[in-house]
Amino acid sequence: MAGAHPSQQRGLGAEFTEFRPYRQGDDPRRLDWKLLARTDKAFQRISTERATILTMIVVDASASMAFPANSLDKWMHARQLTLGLAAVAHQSGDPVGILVAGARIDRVAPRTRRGVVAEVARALGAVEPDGGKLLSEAIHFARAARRIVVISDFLEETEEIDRRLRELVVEGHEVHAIHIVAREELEQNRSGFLAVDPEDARIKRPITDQSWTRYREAFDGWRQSFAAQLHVAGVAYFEVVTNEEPAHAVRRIAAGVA
Amino acid sequence: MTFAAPLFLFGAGALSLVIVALHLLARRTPKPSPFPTARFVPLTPIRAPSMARRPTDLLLMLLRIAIVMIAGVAFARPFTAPQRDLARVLVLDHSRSVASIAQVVDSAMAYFEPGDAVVVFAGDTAVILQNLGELDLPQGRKAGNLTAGIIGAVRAVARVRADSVELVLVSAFAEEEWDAATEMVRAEWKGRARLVAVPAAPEHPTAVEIRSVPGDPLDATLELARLVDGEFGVRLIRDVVSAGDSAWADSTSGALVVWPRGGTNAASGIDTVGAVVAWDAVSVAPFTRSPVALDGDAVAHWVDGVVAAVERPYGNGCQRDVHIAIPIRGDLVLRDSWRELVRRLLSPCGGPQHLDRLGNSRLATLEGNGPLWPRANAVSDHGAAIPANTVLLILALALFAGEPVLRRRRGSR
Repeated sequence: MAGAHPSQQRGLGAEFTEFRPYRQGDDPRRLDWKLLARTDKAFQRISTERATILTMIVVDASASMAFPANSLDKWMHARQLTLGLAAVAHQSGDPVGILVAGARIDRVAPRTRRGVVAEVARALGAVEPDGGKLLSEAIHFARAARRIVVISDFLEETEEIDRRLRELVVEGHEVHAIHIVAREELEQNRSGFLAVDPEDARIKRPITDQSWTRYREAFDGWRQSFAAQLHVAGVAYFEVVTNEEPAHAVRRIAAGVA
Repeated sequence: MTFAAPLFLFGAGALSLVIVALHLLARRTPKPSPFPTARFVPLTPIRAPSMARRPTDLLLMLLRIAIVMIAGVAFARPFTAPQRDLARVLVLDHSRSVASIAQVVDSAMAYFEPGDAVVVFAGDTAVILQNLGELDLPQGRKAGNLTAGIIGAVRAVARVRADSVELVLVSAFAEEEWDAATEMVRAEWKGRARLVAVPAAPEHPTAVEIRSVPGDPLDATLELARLVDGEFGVRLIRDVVSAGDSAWADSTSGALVVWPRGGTNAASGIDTVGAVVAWDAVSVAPFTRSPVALDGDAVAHWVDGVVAAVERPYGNGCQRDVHIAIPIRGDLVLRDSWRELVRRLLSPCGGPQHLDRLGNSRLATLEGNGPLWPRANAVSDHGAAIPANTVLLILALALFAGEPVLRRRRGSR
């Protein structure tokens, strides 16, 4: 099946590109017989092949994505981005599937058939964000795909995920990292509470007006450092804050605008 | 209800506010909330002081406030509100110093109001009364003592109810009514006094009519003491008392001194005593004492404390029994000390008289200056405060003992 992406190989596609003198070993079926008859020279008809890219979207459904607790904005945003990107890939003729890393790893195999986006939606709807530390394993499972999109807040196994993404890039995969950040993690709308890490209850820190400033400095610094590492490694990095419209974010990611 | 020391109440109120503030500012763990990026929050103590909109541990806070307020009320010394601004303690002189006890009562009536306290003193005793209207007293024969009257007045303060208490002394203010303790006792009444002077009684005749036996050594003493000249106010009987003697004492308010010429009773053995004391006179000599039971107010004592002479009222006068055997040998009767002792033993009823008016400085001491005595202070100074104080303190202590129990229970939740 022809995809929306130009293949790195040129061959028998319907879209003519150029003639090339026949060389030994070329497929004789590509010889332009009419040109041979007119010029007595053997030319091979070269056309551009349209390729499909197997796309796997790895979605983080760990407990840290269930934030804020009342609206689950991070998870809802991750779901909408997943659906949007799956729809874009499907529209391009690419087989698309998902891996959801929550308390366990749920999988929708890559398909190009009609209805795969709805299947992805159903799979995501059945997941409640919980658990953690399965995202790197899910990324490993996605190695079969050429294009791998990871949607996560990257708060767990950060170093392991970074290492895996680098490996994928080196192996020739097209890797996209979409960093979901909750608006509440950036804007202080309340104070005087004890911040508890949902994935590690041992981490308990009081948030006050004084500590918020230092928190933002630390959090901003970490995000910038993480993004820089991935850029250097060749990973396409996108940060999406939950107050950004999902459709806008999907268009931005599809256009490659960080 | 009012308070003797309201500052304690204000202090307790202020302390209660501090307790409320502490319950609002208590160091407590903030409410936990999931926050995925908690690891980026700087490490600070979790139990930070924070201001809450509602006090923590409401029950514990109420208990602590109750302890403080109850203790504050107890220390503030509540008492029922007095009905009047001013009450009086009237001290009436019922001694021989006053010319007429009726005049004393009449003078006191000018100041008496229902609710006042009345103290009547005579001799070394004072009686506290609540009403003056029905007071019907005979003429006093004992020497008065202002000290006893003022002590009675201080004790009577607790019986009156008013903001302030005035001491009203109705007396002749004779010299003999003042003693060494009067000034000190007067200082116990911490307010000024009103002095109401009544006419003093005339000096009673002090000449002694002696009916002695021949060779009586007292004859010489009386002569030397010049006690035989003038109007007779004292009759000395050295033998047997007759009915006429008793009638004389009653009719003249005289003192009938019965001083038998007793000798040593060989059957009872010889009991020698080195000295005898009567009022402020002392005579030292080898006296021989016979064991005699005496009935009446003691007026003379042997040096070992045994009563040597007594006085008891008799009609309008009195009879004084003296059982001091005078040594026949020796120069006792010529000594000044013996003469002074005899002068006192042969004094009018009630003892030696000093009916001159007190000097101005002593009167000023009695009157005092400054404001009247606030009753609240007077009551507290003499332990007559409302017993509710004690009850409140016990209650506060009981609650205080229960506070740790409640604190542990609240903490264990």
